[in-house]
Amino acid sequence: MDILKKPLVQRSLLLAAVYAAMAVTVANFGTSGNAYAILESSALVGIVAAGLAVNMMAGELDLSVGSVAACAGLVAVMMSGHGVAVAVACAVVPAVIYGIAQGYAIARLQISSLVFTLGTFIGMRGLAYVISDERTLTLALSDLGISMALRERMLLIFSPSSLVMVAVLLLAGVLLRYTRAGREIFAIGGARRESRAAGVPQTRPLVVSFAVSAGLAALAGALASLKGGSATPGGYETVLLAAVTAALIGGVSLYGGRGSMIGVLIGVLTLQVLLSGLQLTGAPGWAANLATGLILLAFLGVDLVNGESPVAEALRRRSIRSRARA
Amino acid sequence: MSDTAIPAGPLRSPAAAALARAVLAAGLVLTLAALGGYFNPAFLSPENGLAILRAAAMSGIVAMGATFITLSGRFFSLALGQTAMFAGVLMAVLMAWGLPFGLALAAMLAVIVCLGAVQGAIISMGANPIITTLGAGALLAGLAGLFTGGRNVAIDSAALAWIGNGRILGVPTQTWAFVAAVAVAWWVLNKTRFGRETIFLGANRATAGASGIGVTKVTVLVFVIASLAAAMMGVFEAAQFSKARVAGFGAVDFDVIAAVLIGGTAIQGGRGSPLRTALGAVFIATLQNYMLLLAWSSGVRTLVTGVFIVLIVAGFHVAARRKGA
Repeated sequence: MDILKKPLVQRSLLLAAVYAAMAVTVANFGTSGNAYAILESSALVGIVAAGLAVNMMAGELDLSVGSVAACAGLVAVMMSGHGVAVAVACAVVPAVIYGIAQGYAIARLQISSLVFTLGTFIGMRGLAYVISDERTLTLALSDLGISMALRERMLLIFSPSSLVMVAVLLLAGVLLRYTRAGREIFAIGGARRESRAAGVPQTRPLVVSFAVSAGLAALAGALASLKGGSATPGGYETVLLAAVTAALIGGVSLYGGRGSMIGVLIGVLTLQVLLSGLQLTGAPGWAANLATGLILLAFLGVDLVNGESPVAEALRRRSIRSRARA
Repeated sequence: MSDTAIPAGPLRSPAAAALARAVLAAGLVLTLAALGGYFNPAFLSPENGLAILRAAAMSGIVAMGATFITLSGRFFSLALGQTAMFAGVLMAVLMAWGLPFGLALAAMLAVIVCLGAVQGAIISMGANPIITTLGAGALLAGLAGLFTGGRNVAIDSAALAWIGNGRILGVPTQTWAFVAAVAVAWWVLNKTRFGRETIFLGANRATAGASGIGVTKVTVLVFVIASLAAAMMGVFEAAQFSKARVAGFGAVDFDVIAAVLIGGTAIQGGRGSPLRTALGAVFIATLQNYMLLLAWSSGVRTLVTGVFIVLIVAGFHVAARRKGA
């Protein structure tokens, strides 16, 4: 029964259980058409969550991802006349540069990323309103083919945008595990002081993690806006909430040093399966808010017990003491 | 997250330094007012002054509560805007059920106290305050939808209409409430045991815990206070328009955070004062009002506010480290 104790196995079982429960209770839930729809709606949150998870593993948090996604969506729609690749590149490259600058500033100032990114979270939202002139931008009629192409159904349940999500998660997982920068991110996230004492550079992993979170947020925003055919400066306000929730469900810890991209994928799918089930039963819009809030708080509790939190340490100390007595 | 060491405070007279900073902030507000008046005479009219104070009052009241959270070293709450919204909605729904105003207000406040206490309890166990309150905010938005079906709720009450639109000595009630909130916050932080414990906790959590301060108690209380301040704003908002709105509170958290940080309350906790937050709120309202008179778009205004926050936070952070080194 040891296999049941592995966190990833437990979380996969949770996903399977949620899916099965929905498939039994909600009509038309278990179809391949709905599986396609769930994956399709996961793309945005999944790609943002991948970047945010890298951040969380480094023990930091980039609150500005939603605002960056909104800016990127606007830029991508503006540049859509030059083709998908150019439009996405125009959105992602400035975001990566912004992420590098942000990571560098946070590392050099040794400031809490929550505080710093709170400012950029507000500032980038303002920038979104400025570059769009406070209007909703829509794809030109001649470019609507882009929107169709991104959501075209292929391989039974996938679409180009959900395939991008899977590719991003796989790539991020491999890079985290097998590259020097990836290991450094885990090291500074798991034990900042010990890693410094052991000679791990402190600036580079922070810069990388913020560049990744901003770049992937931009990629997600650009793809979602191109797919939806429009971008509004006030968009993607709730994506931070959804992405953090998904990462927490997937076992990424807010205390750093813990988590995997497979976990993030499982987390995103679990969240979207639940939300899609709610939607199919005809629940109104606020139900999604309610559900996401509840799930987030529940998994915060799980993270409190599992991660490197004060509560977890107290629990560990107690169990060691009781074992010593026995 | 990353635990930056809190530098030792300056050895020479902290009171003088605090006074210097307050004078600096007041000077900034006055300079801005003088410049604004020079370029645009309408800016300095008494009516515009009252309008600024009224605008500052709404986010300023909430910022008073938020100052407690920041001082205690728990950064910020992103649920305060939704708490304000939920408070207004809950009161309106209770009154629509036929409860008299006083009873509805009391019942609503009881619920808000519980909500703040639960958030504080979770956070005192070591949960990330920003994420906890983000989740709580989503939950409150959902609950408000559950109660109202997503529609605004009309309120019919003469008392409430007066609270929203009345004037005492020609000054709006909101402004009086703001002044009262500042006075109470200053008194609690400087003259009560709980206030000193809050600042001690923010200055050094480990030492505070080791010296017998109830970390959980203080954390729960600061979130209860912040939630109550948000509820106060919710009541004023609902009273002003005689209806509880279920949307439109998105910018509250931004304005509150801006007021606290621009007032110069140290984000790591332990240093700051409600008086400076009040000045910060007035400064933000003045800036917003001035940009509005220049007919700058809301996007530019948000961008400028964000840039201000980043610069000021980074500036204070660097200054604090210099002094500590």
